[in-house]
Amino acid sequence: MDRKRVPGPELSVAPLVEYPVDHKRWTPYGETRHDAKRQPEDMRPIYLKTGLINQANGSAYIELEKTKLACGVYGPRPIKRTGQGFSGKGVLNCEIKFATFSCAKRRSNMRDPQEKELSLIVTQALTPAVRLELLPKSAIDVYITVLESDGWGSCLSAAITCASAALAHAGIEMLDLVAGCSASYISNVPESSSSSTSGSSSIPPQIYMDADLEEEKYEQGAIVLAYMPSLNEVTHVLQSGKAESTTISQSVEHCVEACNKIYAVMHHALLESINESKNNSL
Amino acid sequence: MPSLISPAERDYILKGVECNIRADGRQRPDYREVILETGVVSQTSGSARVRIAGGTDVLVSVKAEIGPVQVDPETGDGADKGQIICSVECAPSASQQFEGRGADDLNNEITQMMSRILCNNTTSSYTSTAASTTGSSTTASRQSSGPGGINLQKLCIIPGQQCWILYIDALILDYGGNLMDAIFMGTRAAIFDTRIPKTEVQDLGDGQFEFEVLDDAEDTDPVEGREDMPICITLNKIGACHIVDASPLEELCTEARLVVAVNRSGQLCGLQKGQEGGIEPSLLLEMIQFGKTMGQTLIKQLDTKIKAEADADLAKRQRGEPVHKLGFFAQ
Amino acid sequence: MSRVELLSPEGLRIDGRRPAELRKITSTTAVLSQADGSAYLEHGNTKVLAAVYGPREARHRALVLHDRAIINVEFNVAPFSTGERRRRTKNDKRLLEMASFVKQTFEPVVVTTLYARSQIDIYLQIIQHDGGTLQACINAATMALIDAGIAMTDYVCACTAGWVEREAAIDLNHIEESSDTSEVTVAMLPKSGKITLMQMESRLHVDKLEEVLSLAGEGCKQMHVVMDKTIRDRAEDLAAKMAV
Repeated sequence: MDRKRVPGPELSVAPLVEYPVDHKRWTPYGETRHDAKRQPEDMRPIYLKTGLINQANGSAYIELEKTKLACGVYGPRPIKRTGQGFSGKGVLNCEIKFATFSCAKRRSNMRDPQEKELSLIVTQALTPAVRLELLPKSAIDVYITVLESDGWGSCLSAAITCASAALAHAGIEMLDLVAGCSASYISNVPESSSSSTSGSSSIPPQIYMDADLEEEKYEQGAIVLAYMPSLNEVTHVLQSGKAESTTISQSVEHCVEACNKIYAVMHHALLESINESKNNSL
Repeated sequence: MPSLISPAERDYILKGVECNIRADGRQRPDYREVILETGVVSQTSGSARVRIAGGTDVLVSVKAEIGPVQVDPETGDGADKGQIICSVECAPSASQQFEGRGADDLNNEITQMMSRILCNNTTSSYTSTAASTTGSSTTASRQSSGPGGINLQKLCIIPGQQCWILYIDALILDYGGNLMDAIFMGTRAAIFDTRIPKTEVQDLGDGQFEFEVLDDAEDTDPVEGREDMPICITLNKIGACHIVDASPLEELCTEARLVVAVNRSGQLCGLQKGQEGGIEPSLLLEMIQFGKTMGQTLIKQLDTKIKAEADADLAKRQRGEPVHKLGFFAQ
Repeated sequence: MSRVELLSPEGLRIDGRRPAELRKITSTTAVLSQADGSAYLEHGNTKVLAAVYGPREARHRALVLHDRAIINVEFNVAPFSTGERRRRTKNDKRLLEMASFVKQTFEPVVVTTLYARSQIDIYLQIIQHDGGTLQACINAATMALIDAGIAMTDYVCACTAGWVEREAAIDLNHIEESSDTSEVTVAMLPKSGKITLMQMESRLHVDKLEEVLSLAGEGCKQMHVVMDKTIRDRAEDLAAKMAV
């Protein structure tokens, strides 16, 4: 028996929440989004600031209303194990971790397979942008912590945006900043009782940019896109759920536009941090 | 097999792809020959083996077992649905780099991709031996058939209590490039081959139910919604062009890889980019279109073959002849 | 649970075999494209795939021997191989034990002194499990090693034998294994008759031991005939292709 720890009960269940009778759950069949101020093509306002973590070479903190993430970048530093042999390029390691309190249901503090996959996705999204051939035998470690998650798609896209801002703040040479954004396909028409397996309603679903948690519950599909605006290159795309190809082409275009806007925000935040450090050193 | 490629070979493949000639004589949109056989493992509810000429060998099995329903505590969803749990394993015999823990990352990546495309939720849960089910707290889709097409409500036995759980296990025996396509083709064939026993539910009154599994080998149900299962096409971007069905050397040269999952009616069920390179948006849309058309053609051909095999087997059984499966003895 | 009759009054076993009869064995080699040598063996309903890589550079420098090759064995059991689906971790104690048995079986037979400072990897994949996995794995590994062209002093043929009710029987299937029978796995070199592995986990009366062992030896000789035929057929096939 393990006497050093006092473990909680083996099986614990979240309490059932009873909403008051007049509580109205949001549904997409109405006219507005969950956040009534937004239109379907609007993103949530972004707050991005670098320089949060002093010990890291570079860091950034991003908030998309309720989604909050912090990112720290350490590097370039020497690779610990040279098991893979010499390679002329550096290595980018990303690790994303959800804090245990970040989601509605408590997450375990060990890395689960979903986090490992998200880490791989973030690595794949950032690697085309970083000039790794200038850093042989070095590793760049990017650690992302999700403090509060409001929508899986927005979490992932915020992670990509935040990580590239942190990389820029660390002074690592990159080809371009990577902006990430997400969109969901939600049908405004309530599902008919006879759900035919082949082909859903002929009305194409509405594309909602940057869907939050409540809206994601009704989604038929989602897409997350990471994009480098100056080079006009998509570094990562991930789509799930069923959708027609026209919907996907449309959403890719919308996402590219949104990424351009996010790019401007990232620029602004980085310029501000440079000005601040200039003022501090004077 | 190679995890390194020399610059000369890389250049050779790159220039070849530009001229529409690949190392083994194929053109860019050409697929290698595929050998497919169902019903190869006898203790499962359904199984299939896919072999792509040039080396990739994948064995997919579907086992139907009875278990408790998983109910989402917030929305109460899931009480009337069955479950699908996928898992992928790369055997160390497949390639040198899969020894010991080397295959863990690849297993995880492919499993998550499979779960995303076949199961019902975008943040999928994956049962591993180390941790118990990591519940997906954020989404609960409200449809009876998710992107995988399979009708989960038909898999429920007693709403709120027991349901069928389909375990889809893929075993990669040999690696010759293009794993995702082989796995999905095998999964589709295995699901077509799957037979779920019928159950008889007795109402004992007072909300109590009892059920019994009918043990009749002839009287079984196929899986509902299996025609809508997607398959995937992997497109590899080399240089400025894209190829289909890459060999291991070509995979080492790819800058970016796009996995397009498409179903029978042309809807896209999943899209994921891999590898460490970028794609232009216009090229991206073009690749998606290409993948979609190719996928639909492939589904049609696959279905005709599977149906032909099933019909031949049925005819043999009715004549009283034993049905021999070639399994590994197929060349 | 009703008592299953393992041996009928006429002397037939549960699947209709005589006590000294082996199950149907089919095998083929060179099934995998990446491995240096591979073999697939079907022993009744037990299906095993063996892949051999080597001799190649050792993975861990620390384990290298200066005058010999090291043999590394890894087992992998598919989750659908047994009646109920069960995932097994890589570090399952039982699998590690079986892997070490296989390693000890082959160490005296493979001429390791020819391949100093290198490593020979044997990967065994169990696709279907119906009793007698260890014997099937050893047989498949032998054929895979021969297919890879690794020097060996002789074939290694393995067979299980046990005492089923009143008689000694060979090649026990899953139902016989799980009931209260004692089972011995014997691996021997057919030319010399030497035994490289003998493993038993249950209880067997010492008076019956000799009969069981001699029956196992007979079974191994029968296995040798089957394996030899497969290898020779394949060699003839290759020779015919090269002659053109």
